Amino acid sequence: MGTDDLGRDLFSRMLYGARTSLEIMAIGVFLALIIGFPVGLVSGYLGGTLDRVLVLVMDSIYAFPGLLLAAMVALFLGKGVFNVGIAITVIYVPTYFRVTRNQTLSVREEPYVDAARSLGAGNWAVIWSYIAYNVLISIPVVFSLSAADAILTAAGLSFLGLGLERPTPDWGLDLSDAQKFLTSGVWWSSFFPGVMIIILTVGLSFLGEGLNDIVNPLLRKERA
Amino acid sequence: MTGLEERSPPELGDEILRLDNVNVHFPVKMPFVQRLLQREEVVVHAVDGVSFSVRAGEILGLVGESGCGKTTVGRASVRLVNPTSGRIFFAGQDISKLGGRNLRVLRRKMQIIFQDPHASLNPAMTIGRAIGHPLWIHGAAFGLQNRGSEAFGKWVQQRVLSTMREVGLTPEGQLFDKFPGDLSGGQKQRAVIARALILGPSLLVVDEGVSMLDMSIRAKVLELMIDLKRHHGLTYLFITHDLAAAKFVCDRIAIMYLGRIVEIGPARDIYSDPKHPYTKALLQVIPIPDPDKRKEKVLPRGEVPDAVHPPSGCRFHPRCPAVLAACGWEGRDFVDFLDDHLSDPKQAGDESILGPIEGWRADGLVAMMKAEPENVEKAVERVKAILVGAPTAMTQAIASVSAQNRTVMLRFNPPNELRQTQVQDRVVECLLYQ
Amino acid sequence: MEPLLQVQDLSVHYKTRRGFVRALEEFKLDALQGETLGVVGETGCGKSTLGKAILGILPAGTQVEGKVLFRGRDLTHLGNQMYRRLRGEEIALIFQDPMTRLNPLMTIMDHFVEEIQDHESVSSAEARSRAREALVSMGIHESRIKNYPHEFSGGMRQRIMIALAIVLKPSLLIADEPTTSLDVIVESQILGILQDLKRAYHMSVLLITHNLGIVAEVCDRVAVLYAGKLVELGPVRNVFHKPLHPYTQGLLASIIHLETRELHSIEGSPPDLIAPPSGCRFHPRCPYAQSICVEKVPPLVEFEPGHFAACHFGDKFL
Repeated sequence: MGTDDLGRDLFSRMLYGARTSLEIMAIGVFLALIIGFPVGLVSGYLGGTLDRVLVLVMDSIYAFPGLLLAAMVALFLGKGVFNVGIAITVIYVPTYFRVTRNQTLSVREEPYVDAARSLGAGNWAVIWSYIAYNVLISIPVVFSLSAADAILTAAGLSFLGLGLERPTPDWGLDLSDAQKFLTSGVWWSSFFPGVMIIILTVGLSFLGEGLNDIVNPLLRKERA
Repeated sequence: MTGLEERSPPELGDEILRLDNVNVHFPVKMPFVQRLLQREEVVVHAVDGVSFSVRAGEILGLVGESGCGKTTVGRASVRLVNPTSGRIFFAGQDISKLGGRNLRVLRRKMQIIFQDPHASLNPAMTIGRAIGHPLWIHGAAFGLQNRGSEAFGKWVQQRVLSTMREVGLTPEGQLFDKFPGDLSGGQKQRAVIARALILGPSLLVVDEGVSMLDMSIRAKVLELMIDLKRHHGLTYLFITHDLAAAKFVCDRIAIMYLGRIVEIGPARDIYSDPKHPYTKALLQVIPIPDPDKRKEKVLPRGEVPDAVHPPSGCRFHPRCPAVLAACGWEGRDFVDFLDDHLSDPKQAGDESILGPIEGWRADGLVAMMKAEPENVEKAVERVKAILVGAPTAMTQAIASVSAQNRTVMLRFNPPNELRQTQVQDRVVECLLYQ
Repeated sequence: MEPLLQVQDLSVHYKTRRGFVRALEEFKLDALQGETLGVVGETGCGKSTLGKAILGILPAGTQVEGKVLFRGRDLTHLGNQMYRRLRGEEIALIFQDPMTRLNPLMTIMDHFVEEIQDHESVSSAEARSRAREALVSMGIHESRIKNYPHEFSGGMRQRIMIALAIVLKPSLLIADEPTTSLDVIVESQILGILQDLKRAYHMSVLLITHNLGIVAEVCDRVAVLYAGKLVELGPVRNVFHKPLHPYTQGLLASIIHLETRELHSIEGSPPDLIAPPSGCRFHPRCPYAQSICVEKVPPLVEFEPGHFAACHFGDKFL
């Protein structure tokens, strides 16, 4: 693929860039899930004031333009892969919260939840044994979609010069650096990082859909 | 095959469940501002002053159409829904306001089986786990201290397997690890029954236990319920809209209409000699599976009105074929009658003066319409003319039709007070018997 | 007189992940003009599939063999355009849940105008007046014509759906579980309406249901389905008083009605239609099964005039 302005091999930067992106995504999205899912469950099930407050908070974060918010967090925390991951988390917690909460609201009305209560199950038992799993099955799709989106956001952050320090291999960073060389006809140092971002993003989206097709029937334990 | 033959009255124990003037009102969802504008509280009168008792060992049927409140009564009895007012007693103890731990303890003694077997089981739990779950929840109560111990786990498993055998969910070893999606409708309902029984309750509320099953397997599940009752000395509150099944299964039966019990007494007698007009109507419309027995049916007019604004007096009066003048006629009834009249091309004469129907307002016993001063007198005349063709009971209940300022006003007499009356061996709420 | 509807050797196989579900197998049926034919069976017997097959609304990828003749025309090979004209004008369908047919965003009047104008080129005024006529004949107040579906009760919506189905005066009305979700009193009212329709318009009604009680009330003939096969067909009186097929016998015996003295049921449960039993599909649950029942598919035989049954031993029950 050639080399960039500092003579580093593009190909290996692409590969390591993948690792960086996946690391960021892993931290960001997983953390968002670990926070958003339980909070969404509890909020959706218990309702009341707690729910109203949480929804307000989450909606506020959600309403904030993603990249801007991430940028603010990144500025605050400083640079580094882990910190970018945290910034991503902050943006995506509301998404997981919402999806989980919505699903919880509908699962909560199912007769088998009523049945559980009539058996004497306390709130925690109901949430854990009856609601959690049935809500979980709707998560895989959202997961991969937000993962794809996270990659874009992370790339955007790096492109803006926030988040990651040079010389960390990262596509967004490389894209940013390579901009200035476009006019001199050096297209490859911006092309490849760009393409890689697209491929990973689109690939994750497809993965999500395919995952849904396979996993959902399995998780729902359907016969046919 | 279970036979009715010489079904002697069951050995009845003490009163196990009693409802005392229970009301369950649900708030109607509406925008905040609109709620502020309402003069009185707008609620759904799901259950409106219901009282009855069930003795240990008997099967009381709660029968009625959808919207009559029977499901809500069932749910209130096991405190899945809180009564808005009134009291509920279980084995002599007032459970109307019970909460928290005490309520949990109560759950072991009374259970409810819901209508839809396909939706009553958690799709994510195996049958074995689902049936055993109540034991996990109430573990400490069984004297086994350590819920995490292997001994407890084994004990639960044994109990589950034996209960599965008892309800006919065999081969229990195989079915234990299956998920609800792998079971047939009948099997699912058996699993639901097993789960309800495993704690050893004394009262079982069955809400449409077999209505969603195919006919050819309903009998088996009903048989199972009857056998279990005998075996374990259970008491049932059997909620259904299926009058035929109720006749077969129940000792006593309560007919509900729009939140109230209209007739309650021994099943056999009510079926052979129904007193309340609504009971008569219900029994009449049950399809008989014999083509030679087709008959003309006299159906009550219209449909069950909404429970937010139930008719005054006797709630069945707008539809009752045997209605009297004192049954509860009110402004609304006249407006409905007029609406009918205006819509019928055959009957409507020069009615334009009384229309459109939206011009009429009903407020309690009064129905009124604003009119131009020159038309008011004529309108009053028209109303009186139309009333000739109205049901006698309604016209007899009218106190006056007059013109006041620019309004045509029709006023009804207030209804007689409706009371529960003892008629032979049952209680009926109907002015025909007062 | 030529039958209005002739179903000949109809087989419908649905494609699913685990294999083909043989929902209907070599199904035969005739419906005459003006008669009410009941199609009875329990879960998974194929009765809904029959209704859909006649109307050509089976899901894509479904294997269909055999013929469905309407007034002599083969519907199985009808193009989409022709089928659309047929639906509504000649054959109409009503379901259990009226809301699957009614658009919550359209007033009742709009529904009618759309239906009429879809099939006939008439002015809006003409369409509206016909709509008014149909609705009033169903007992719906003129004042409510501009209301939306959700403003009506379940029974009313069912009536609206029936009115919508008959506004173009079709010759055949297919009613798939029309009263299953309704209370007994409303159910009686609706059945009364169906009978009036039959008398007034000489309409044929195919009543698909699992409720034998209403079949006894309103039907002239009845067809009993089990696991995708027609097991008995005949006049209601004959089938109810002298059922020839053990499944029909079991089904009739298991009905719980006011005079029931004993409870009866049929052992076992309906078979898996992906791999149905060999020979007679009912043999695993039949109290009279012999080896021939396992080996040979019983043919549909006319054991007495107009009364058919698919049982090797049908004559024993005569």
